[in-house]
Amino acid sequence: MATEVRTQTAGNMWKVLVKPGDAVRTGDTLFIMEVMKMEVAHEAPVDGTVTAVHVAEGAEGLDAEDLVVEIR
Amino acid sequence: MTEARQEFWRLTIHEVLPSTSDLCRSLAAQGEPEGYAALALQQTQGRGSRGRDWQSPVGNFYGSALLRPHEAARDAGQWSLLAGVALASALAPLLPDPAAMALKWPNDVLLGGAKLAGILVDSAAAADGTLEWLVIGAGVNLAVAPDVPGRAVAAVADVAPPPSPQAFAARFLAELDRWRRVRALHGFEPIRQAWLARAPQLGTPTTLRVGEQLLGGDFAGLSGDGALLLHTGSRIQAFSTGEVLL
Repeated sequence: MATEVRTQTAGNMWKVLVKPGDAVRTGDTLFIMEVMKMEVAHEAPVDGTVTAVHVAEGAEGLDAEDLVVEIR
Repeated sequence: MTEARQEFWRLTIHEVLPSTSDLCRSLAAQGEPEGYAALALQQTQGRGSRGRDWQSPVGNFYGSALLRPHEAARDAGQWSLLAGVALASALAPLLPDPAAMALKWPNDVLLGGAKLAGILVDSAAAADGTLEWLVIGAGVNLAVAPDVPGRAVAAVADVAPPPSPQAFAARFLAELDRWRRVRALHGFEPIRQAWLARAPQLGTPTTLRVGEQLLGGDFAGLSGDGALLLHTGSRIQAFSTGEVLL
């Protein structure tokens, strides 16, 4: 079953650092949100391979809990 | 106050660093407890928001502080405003006319409309929705206002004898500690009020850049969680991202 990594805050998608096929380890930064000029890095909760990225860099007006990355 | 600060912060002073925030981030990732703070007398790779360069000549303040607030990441933006309030509180006693200083949303500090200081807040959200760590970095033009093409830039030295970076670090860390305690005890509202006390007047025409779009409106204050309120046409809109243009 895929592990879903969702936005933990509303804001813009400033950087997406992974793409499908990338191997990631727990703690690796997957993407960075921006809210009120603050950068909020989101880390991989598990080791695995990125199977899907649902939000593009630069996307604006995201809510908290939006699905961004899936890892298997 | 002084005692609390000395207990809480562990300040390290460096002649030169690539970036005080990068040092704090890397220590945060290695498990450094909160309260670590770094001051550099010079930076070789100073960063502003969105990866912009922050010129870092000798004589100005470059410092970062590590916190681990153990709270929901969705409230993270409040720290951005808190950092601005703390920085303005540290600067006000240095200025002959503190009323000439104003905050630009969310946390730039302006003097006579020119940029005096800036803040960069980095953080990491854990998978359970809490903030794992928070690094508040600040750059203050104490002695020198670097040339930034297209921007009006000010320094404390323009209006008063500037303190040393070390002396300013003590002031800033004390204010950061004070305001984080205020928030822990009373929530965000006192920070919001303190921010508004140093804000432009309500009704000030304001342009916000959101992505490639420019939005015009009149400044209408801050929402309860610190979003910028703009009166546009017949309604008031709240913005949690975007850049206010001068």
